[in-house]
Amino acid sequence: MANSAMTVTGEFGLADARSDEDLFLACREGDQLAFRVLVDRHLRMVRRLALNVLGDVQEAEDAAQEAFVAAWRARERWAPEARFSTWLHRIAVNKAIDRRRVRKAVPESQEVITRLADAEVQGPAQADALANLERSEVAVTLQQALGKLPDTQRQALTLFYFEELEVGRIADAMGCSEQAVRSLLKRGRQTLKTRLQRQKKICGYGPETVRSAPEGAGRTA
Amino acid sequence: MDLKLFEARLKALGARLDRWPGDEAEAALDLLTTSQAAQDLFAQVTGEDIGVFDDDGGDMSPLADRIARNL
Repeated sequence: MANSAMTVTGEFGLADARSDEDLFLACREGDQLAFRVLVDRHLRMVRRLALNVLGDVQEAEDAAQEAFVAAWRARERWAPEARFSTWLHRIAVNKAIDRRRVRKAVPESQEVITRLADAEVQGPAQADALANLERSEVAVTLQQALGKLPDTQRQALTLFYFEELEVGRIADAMGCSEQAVRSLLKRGRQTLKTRLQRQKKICGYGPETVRSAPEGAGRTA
Repeated sequence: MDLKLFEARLKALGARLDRWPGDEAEAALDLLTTSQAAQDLFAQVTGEDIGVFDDDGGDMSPLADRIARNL
């Protein structure tokens, strides 16, 4: 086991004779100071691992934080026969890769939104200049509505619909529970729907109006 | 990309994946997603690199404090 039978002084001068594994076992009893010693010993390496995947210091520090928080939350499931540092490093690599996917998903979502808008406006008037204009307006409206969502809702929707990740993987990527992801998806969909309906009323365009104008549309009371 | 090629490219290019050619970096990430052996090798090379190359990370205490607050 690493660090056994010797006192290890870490990044912040926290000295503790216990091995990583003994410290992490203490964490199971809720000992946050023991975990702080582990952070002390491993933070620089975890941050560097994330930086090597992400290439961005701020994102690497966010991923490092997510890795340690995930390790803390998973302390009950950790098997003592596994070396703590190896386990932690694997978590860090996975968190960094997930974060890199989130970053990549955002620009790709623009193209997908345009395709969705194209599908919504298919119909006889598609070739018309007006239809083209409306189609682009629908795409812009969708983009704007998505862009105005709270970060967590936008991330969840993007990963679910555009990256096609499962809820469990999204939860890992975002550092929250599966239940929280489902809630974010539900609220995100509802917010998008409400905003798009409101936009349709204001501007008079939207998927239905492009396909075919309903009878009586345009009349004034 | 398999583990053997990944190891060879790690030795040749280093562990900063943002400095790899784009297609090779993506292939490496695919391997890292599925292979614990690749993750362990990546960590080993990263550990060897710490202190040798640029960006030692500076003062880690603000980040450590942030982690502690989020437990």
